[in-house]
Amino acid sequence: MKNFNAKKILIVVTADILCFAVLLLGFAWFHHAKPKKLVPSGISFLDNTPLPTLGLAPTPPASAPAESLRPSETEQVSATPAAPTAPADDPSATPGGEASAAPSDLPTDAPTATPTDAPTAQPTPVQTNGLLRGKYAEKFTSGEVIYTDTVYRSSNVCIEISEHAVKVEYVPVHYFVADIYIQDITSLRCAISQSSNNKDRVEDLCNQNGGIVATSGDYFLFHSSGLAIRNGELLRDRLHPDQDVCVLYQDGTMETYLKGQIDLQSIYAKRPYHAWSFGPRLLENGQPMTSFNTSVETWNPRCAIGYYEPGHYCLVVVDGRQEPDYSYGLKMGDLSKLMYELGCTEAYNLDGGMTAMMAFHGGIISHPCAGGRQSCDIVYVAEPLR
Amino acid sequence: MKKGGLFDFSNKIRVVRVILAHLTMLFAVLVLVLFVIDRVNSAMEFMTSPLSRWMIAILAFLALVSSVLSIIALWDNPDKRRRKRRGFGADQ
Repeated sequence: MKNFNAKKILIVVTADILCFAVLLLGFAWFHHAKPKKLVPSGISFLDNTPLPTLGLAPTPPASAPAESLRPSETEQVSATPAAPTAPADDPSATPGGEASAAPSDLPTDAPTATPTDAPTAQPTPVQTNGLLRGKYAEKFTSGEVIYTDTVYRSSNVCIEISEHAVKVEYVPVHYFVADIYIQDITSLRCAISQSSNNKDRVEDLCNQNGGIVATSGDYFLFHSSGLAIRNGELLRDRLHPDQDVCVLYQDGTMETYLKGQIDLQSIYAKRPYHAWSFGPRLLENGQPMTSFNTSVETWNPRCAIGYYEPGHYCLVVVDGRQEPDYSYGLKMGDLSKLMYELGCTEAYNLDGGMTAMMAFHGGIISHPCAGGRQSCDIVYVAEPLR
Repeated sequence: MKKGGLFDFSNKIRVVRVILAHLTMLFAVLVLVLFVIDRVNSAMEFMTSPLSRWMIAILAFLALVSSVLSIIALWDNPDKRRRKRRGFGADQ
């Protein structure tokens, strides 16, 4: 032991720590900082075969739990862009921070903007053969575009944004709901960042792709496995052994599957349009769940997609990690309950945390913690492609 | 450089053994860290990604080589050989 003195030991331990730091950083870079190389499979589910006929729309369940997450009318405030990124020529722009008293579901009262240059609508008569089969005709216009701070309406797309402030277990929670009605499945699209590091801000990706409303996706480029189908194209054909899957089919139906519950061929047979691998699944047979296939169940910012019936969906972003006054975020069980109370029959959790944010009208309307961060993919709604 | 000291690299086998021991330790700590953070957020695939599997495989390889060298060193221990030549307990 006489060869080991304190100085030598200190040198060796320091060298070990430095080597470990280098090893850890190298692992972190290759594991989740460097995007996985995406090799397109060339398989598209958008063949020219006729689309499957639509089934009867499921009826949203009635909601009457004792401790309701649905805000009262006084709690509901109109969404206001957090960042001053709304177009300057928008006459309906509200100064940041001031909540308007107009509820978001009163589109006729809202100031109507002139047809803007962002998403261009094709003037067509109200469709009776779209995904909604003529339902919710009052949500659509006969061709003109209504684009305000909380509403977008055209003949093909209707988006209503609402901001809610509630108390869950005595803590404040803010969340945003984009209620979406679309006539064509190609209105609900995904976009992948084309930048060198495969990351972009949600609002930038949304604007680049002509989107109207957008949220973060499932961050699939930075995961090594998990089924990925985007806009009808197969990008990765490996089901993750531990993740639930959400599939939006071209007939407008959306289904969520627990891990191991479905195989690829069954999904392919129904012609998927999108498949997300993040999770967990939030509703089971239209009912809220109590146990989830995830280890991140505590308070967090959340992002989720919900499904009512073909053509009717919602995107939900819950702000979080902004204690004690603004928003704590939601536990997974509370998010499940929220999606149930919104009337969804299927719901799926997407990438949350700092990535959880909602873009509308050219800017971020939610309040992501620490300003948010870039994402590799988004889910967005735009005018249809066909 | 003191003979047999910490920085005595004249004995190549000894150098290899020392480096292997440190590498094994580093990879073992890394795998333990991955195991713990995977428990926190399994969606990040800290233990199931191909890279993590390679880390575990490298750790296993290092541990194997290090163990074999340790066994050989113990086998060739001069003290042990000396005791064996003299018979057990002869040097007491």
